[in-house]
Amino acid sequence: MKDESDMDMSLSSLVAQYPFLRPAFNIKQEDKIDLVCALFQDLTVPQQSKVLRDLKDRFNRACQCNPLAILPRELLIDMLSHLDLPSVQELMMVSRDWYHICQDPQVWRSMFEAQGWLIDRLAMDQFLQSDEHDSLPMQPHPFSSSAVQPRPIERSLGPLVISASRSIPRPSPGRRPQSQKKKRMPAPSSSLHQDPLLSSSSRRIDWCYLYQQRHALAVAWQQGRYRPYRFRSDPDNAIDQPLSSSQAQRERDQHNDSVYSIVLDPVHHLVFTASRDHTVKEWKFDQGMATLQHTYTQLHHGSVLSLDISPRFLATASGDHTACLVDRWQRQLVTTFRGHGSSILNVALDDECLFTCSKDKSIKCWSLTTHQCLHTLLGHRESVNVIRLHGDHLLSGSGDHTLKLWDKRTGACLQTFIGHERSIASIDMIDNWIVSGSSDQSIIIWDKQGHILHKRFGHPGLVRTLQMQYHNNRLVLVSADYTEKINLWDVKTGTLLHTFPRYYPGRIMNIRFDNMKIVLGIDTGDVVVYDFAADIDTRFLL
Amino acid sequence: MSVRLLSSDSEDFTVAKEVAERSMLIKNMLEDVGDNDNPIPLPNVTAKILRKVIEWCEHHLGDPVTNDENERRNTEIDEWDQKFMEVDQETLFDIILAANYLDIKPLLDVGCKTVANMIKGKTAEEIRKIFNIVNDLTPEEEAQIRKENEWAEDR
Repeated sequence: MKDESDMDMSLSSLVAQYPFLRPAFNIKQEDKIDLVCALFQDLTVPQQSKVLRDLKDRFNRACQCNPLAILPRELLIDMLSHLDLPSVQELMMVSRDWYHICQDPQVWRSMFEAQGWLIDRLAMDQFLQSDEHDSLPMQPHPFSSSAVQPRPIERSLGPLVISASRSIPRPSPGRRPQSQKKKRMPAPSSSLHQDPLLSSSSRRIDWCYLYQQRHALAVAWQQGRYRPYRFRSDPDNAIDQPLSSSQAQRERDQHNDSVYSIVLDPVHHLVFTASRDHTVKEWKFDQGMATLQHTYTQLHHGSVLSLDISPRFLATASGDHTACLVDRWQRQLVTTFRGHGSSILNVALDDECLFTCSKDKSIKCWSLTTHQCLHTLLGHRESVNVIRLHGDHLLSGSGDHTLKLWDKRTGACLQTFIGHERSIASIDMIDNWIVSGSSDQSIIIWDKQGHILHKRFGHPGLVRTLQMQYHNNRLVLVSADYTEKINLWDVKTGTLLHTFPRYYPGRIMNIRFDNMKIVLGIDTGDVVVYDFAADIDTRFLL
Repeated sequence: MSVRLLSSDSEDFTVAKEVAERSMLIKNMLEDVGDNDNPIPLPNVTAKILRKVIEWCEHHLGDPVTNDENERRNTEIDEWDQKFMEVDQETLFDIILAANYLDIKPLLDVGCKTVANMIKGKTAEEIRKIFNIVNDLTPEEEAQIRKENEWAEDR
């Protein structure tokens, strides 16, 4: 600092002495170089030597401001992990060194995690442990083969290679069945073309690539960009996507009556559907393909009205007054619960208990080990249409226009929610947020203490089905009535974010969504998917 | 109880033990050597920087330890720390390096966040100005990087 001001002092006195020097500072930068060289030439050798030493000091001091020159790599990465995408991309444009350090996987991983995005650990671990080197061809980093060669950060600045051949063909990802390739559209930018998963000769995750894929998914939701199709294909309908190889097969696979209930298991890429046709079906849903895995035909002799899953079990509820517990992986019936005096309308599973609610106005809690009924929760004055579990609480919605919050272990009623004018058809609960849809056509967003935070009329009829979930750090709600609208809401503000059109005939009976898709159960027996991940590599995403 | 610390330029500091123990390095050293009157030499930290670091440790003596990743990633810096970090860049980087060497994670975070905040929302040209960086990218390379980054504009 001291030298700097000295310099300024001597400069200003110099200009005071020789006013004609002032315009010299306005000449072009390139001309300044010539001027400096000319002046330098005019000095004696010892003077030149002194100038060189001074300049070198000044230059070193200037360089010292560059964090890249001062901080060790791990601290730089640490610093970068506090930045967001636009800042990192701007940094890439600063200089070669910055460009290279911004490629560090840790930077992208931090940004990925800061978004609240999830990865499919299972798939990732499998990939990392697998050594099928042949089936997944070695590919360099998606960027490296394209243009600017990443290399270790060094102080010496080598030239960057601009490769002429940017269009390296994408190798066929061997693990995927060929049939899926047809469905996948070309990626938007050519750098995405080269493949994903191998950043170098050893297996590691290319977080930048992963970030791009997840980013594309978030954008698809934001812009309402998705591909609608049915688990069954209809050749007359142009927007239908063929989902399995044979038309006849699909016709056989589908439910032949109303799909009343859907459960998604994104971790295992499974979808369960329950139908008025007395069956429950398990589908594998992966990268836009739905294939029937199993049909349970013997569980019930009435409509299957509701479904739930836990890591181990599948539970079903039926109009035949019983509920079934099934071992998901053995696909075997464990037990049938009898005790309700009427149709069981909804089920909810946790690790220890099965909860059922019925037209008989009661809720029952059953032990998963002894299969005994532990509690009967009484209090609703009409049929209990729907129940949900979250944490220690059970929430119920009833034909008596109220919701009730219960302690799920003791069966004590903690709170009654009064605000709807007609029967409650759909509810959900996450953390302190409770939401309910009613035949009074409204959706109410409550807190757990029973305060009404928002009341919204976004549907022209009974709010038949809804679900709430965190989506990119934001709590969102998807709701549907029978025939008109599918709405996406921001729960905290109560804002309507998007209304999705209907593409298929029939009444919507149930709706479920995860990060990739919205799935609708229709009374025609169709299962309809709005697939937001249609052109995205979701192998490691959840 | 107090501890003596010796800076690289041989200045002797006496600080309360719990202040010094904000540094995991010093904490571990003290555990290893036990009670001892000899000053702990810190050959990587000058007196000027050590004084700043001690000032920070004294102010943050009662802070709860947070291991929450989200908390860490939060780029908000509290007012006192912002003031504390209003130093020239050389000092800022020296504080970061000292925090790293002394293993004072929260101070390191504040330092890194401060640098990150200097970068946030700035254009490449502004960043170059702030840190005195010479742009060594050719126009072709710049165009190339811009193209690589195109995917993000789709929002």
